[in-house]
Amino acid sequence: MKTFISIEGLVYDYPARTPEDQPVRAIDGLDLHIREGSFTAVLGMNGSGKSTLAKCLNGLYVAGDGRVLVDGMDTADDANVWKIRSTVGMVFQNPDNQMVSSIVEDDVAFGPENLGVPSEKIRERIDAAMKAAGIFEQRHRKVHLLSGGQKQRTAIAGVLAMQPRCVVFDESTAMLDPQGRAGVMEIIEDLRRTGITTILITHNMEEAVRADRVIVMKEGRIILEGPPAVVFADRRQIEAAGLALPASLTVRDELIKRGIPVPDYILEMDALAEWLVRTAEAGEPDDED
Amino acid sequence: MRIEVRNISFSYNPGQPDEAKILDGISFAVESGTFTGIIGHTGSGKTTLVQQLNGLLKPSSGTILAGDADITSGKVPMADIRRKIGLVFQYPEYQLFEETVAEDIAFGPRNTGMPEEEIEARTREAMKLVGLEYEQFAGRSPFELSGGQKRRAAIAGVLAMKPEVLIMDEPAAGLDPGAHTAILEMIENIRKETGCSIILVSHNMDDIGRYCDQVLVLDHGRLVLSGTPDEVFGRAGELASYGLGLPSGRALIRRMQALGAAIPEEGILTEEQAADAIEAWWKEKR
Repeated sequence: MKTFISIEGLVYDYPARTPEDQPVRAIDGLDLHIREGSFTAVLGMNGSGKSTLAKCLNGLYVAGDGRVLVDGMDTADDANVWKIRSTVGMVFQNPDNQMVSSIVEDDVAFGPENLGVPSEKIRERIDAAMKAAGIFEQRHRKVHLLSGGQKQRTAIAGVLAMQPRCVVFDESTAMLDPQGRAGVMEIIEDLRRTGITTILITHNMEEAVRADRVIVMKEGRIILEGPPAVVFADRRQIEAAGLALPASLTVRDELIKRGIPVPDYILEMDALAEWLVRTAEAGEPDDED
Repeated sequence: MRIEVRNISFSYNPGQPDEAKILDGISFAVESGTFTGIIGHTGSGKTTLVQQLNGLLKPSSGTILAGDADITSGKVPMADIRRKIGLVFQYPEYQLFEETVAEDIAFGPRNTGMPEEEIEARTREAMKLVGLEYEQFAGRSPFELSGGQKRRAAIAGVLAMKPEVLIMDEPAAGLDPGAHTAILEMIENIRKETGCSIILVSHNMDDIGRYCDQVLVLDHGRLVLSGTPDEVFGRAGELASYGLGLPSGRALIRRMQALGAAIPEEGILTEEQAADAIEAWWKEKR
């Protein structure tokens, strides 16, 4: 698969707040290539630069040094701004900050209307987006009467209505209850199946193990990356980055300590349950006498 | 201090055609020095409920006893109640405002007019409880701290009032996993050190299972389930219907049961307990 986002030597500084202050370096020479259609999770402690990185992906922030290419387009080039923003959609932590209209379907239609999409096409687009985000049934409801999870679905539908090729979720599950979180994760899995590139910034390790690739950030740099099995195997770095293991791997470690040889490739709870039951049922011939 | 809630209801615009009932006939008690968890999906009434407990909102009907005092009677000085029942809101660091961490923490005690030595002693003690070294942090601006440190400073401001009940509304929201665990351990330590009771509002079933003595489940403003964590998490089907789940360890055991494993789930609230149960089951099978 081809590279969709290409970041080379990215540096981003927040400007000094007062003349006496120094600028604050949030991204410190970062290289990253993201393949089209992949699902990447970005982890790291508060202040490690994750959200700043997210904002660099669609040109909300422009590189101070180095460059960010989205499908070959440089985010620093003003001529590309609108193309890039419609290519890379962003879903933030607090859906309330992303709502512009009082009725669900009006809110979802806001983006395509602004792009000048013909009105008969808009209907088609927003219906498809609302169905994909699981908010179609609520399309006539008032936004302020929705639950947190439903508001986040509305925000996602608004982004999908722009028909982006990549969606960045910046801690979009953080304020939701367990059901709301599960709903957003299902949407992410659906997007991945349709070939949309997804990037999920999260503090939730259970969400991260479902990604194709995990990036761990610390002090504006990437300190660890790879498939979840490889990243979470590095217990020392995970701890140094202020992270924890997903519960499934905590249990796996505990089981290994107790002499149950759970293999490395078991990452998720369901897979762990299945392996345990299957392996115990099969038994080992020399153990049965 | 014991808190007893007797049949409270709360509505916005009571008696009007647009009356919105937020809490509906809720009763429970929180015993002195215990750890109570409140769970429920977004909009179930958790935050409204805890705001009643320290008198920020007044129930439309029903009574709340704090110790012997009926705080809904209108006869108790609410300043007293708010001192004894401390409430830490979601994202409390947004309420930091003083020039230094010590000044911010001292704000509450100073307002009660206590002597300077007492204020300083309380500030030091509160900082110790939240794990912020006095010498290192007292003179710093709260705005220079990390997210987790800011939150600790904000919690210290409430602790400086020496509350007998500490209510925390999603204290770990938005924190990275390392800071999350540290905040929960800090809360449990505060309970042990000071003997105050803790009421924790949370979406995190692992935290609820690990720390609580009692769990209250809210749904559409009603208290639909309550008991020990083991009792409440023993009703997985019912919890799912309220949009709630199980602690990870218990969920794993339930998943194994569904796949045909004869493994008991009683008493399993943490990952370690799940691993113990699986070990016993495994040895029997092999």
